Amino acid sequence: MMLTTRNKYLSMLNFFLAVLKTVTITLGGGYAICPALGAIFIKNNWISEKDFYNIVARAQTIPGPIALNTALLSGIHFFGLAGVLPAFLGVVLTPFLSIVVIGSFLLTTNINFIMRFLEGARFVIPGIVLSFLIKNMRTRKWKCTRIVGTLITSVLFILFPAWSIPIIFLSIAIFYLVEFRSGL
Amino acid sequence: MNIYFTILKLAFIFFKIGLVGFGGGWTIVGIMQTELVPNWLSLTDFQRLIPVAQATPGPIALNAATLIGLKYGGILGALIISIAVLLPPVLLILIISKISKKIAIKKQALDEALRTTSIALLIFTIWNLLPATFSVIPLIFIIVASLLSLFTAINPAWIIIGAGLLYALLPL
Repeated sequence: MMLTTRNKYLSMLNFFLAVLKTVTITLGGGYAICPALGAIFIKNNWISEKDFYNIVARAQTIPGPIALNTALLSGIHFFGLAGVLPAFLGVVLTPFLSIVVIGSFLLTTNINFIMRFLEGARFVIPGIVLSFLIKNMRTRKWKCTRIVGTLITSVLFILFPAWSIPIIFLSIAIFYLVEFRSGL
Repeated sequence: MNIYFTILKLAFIFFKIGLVGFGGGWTIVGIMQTELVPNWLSLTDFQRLIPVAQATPGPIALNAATLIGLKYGGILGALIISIAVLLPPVLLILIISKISKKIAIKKQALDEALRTTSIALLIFTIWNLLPATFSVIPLIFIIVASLLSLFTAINPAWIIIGAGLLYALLPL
């Protein structure tokens, strides 16, 4: 009994297993995975809650899946640069294998039930993204410059989709300067 | 076209996608669509891939990369293209953890700038995902899904799976 309830000590293997387990049993992408990762790390006394959420905040400012960034930065926090390896493998292994098995079956089969399943699943995606957008807009501290910036950038994306990647970098640079000059 | 050349081309596309993929999976769905449709996937296939990528464990961009890699280059393609989409964050984190003490980026200003761009990207994603014509049943699904995820704490993955089962089982 003692053994099963005792905190796991921090080693690369235990860290890898914790990440692997969390990614495997948590559906729904990064915003579901990060709190679950934090719960395990904090429960094991590997990191304080404050330090963990500092890592999550930093993970959001780096491109890439937030779950991966959070795991990578945690790995570095625990083990230095070598911590990148268990973090990377822990995040990637399950998605890779499950996609190879489930995904390739789902997308190549022509069983009617599965075709209809995918059709129904496809319908709800805009709704889910819409609610994600609304939540983001609701928690945003809106200012005149931010409203105008969001509007102009959205219109640019829609008008020039082929240029979207340069538009992203340009807009981030411009908004950074605007926010910087406004005193942040 | 030579399979290795195909894999390399896709790896480059997903490297670019990985480079701009901040702010959570949904923000880059619009970018993925402009990069992949129609050269690599039809619009319908892309719209089928997204719920599968979302409702299987792991980040959306990575899952999409693995699926497309598998389709065009087998297991080898899946492996290389998955690594390609993850390479930008891994490299950036390694670089930043080396030099972060030397450069003075105002984190709060960068956060706000990223959020402004992320919201614009979400608008772009929705614009791309909206069907060209609305029929009644998809519209009901969209409305119910957005209400459910706005006002309850249900995980989006279950909404996707539930909608799939509902549509497959009901004689609509």
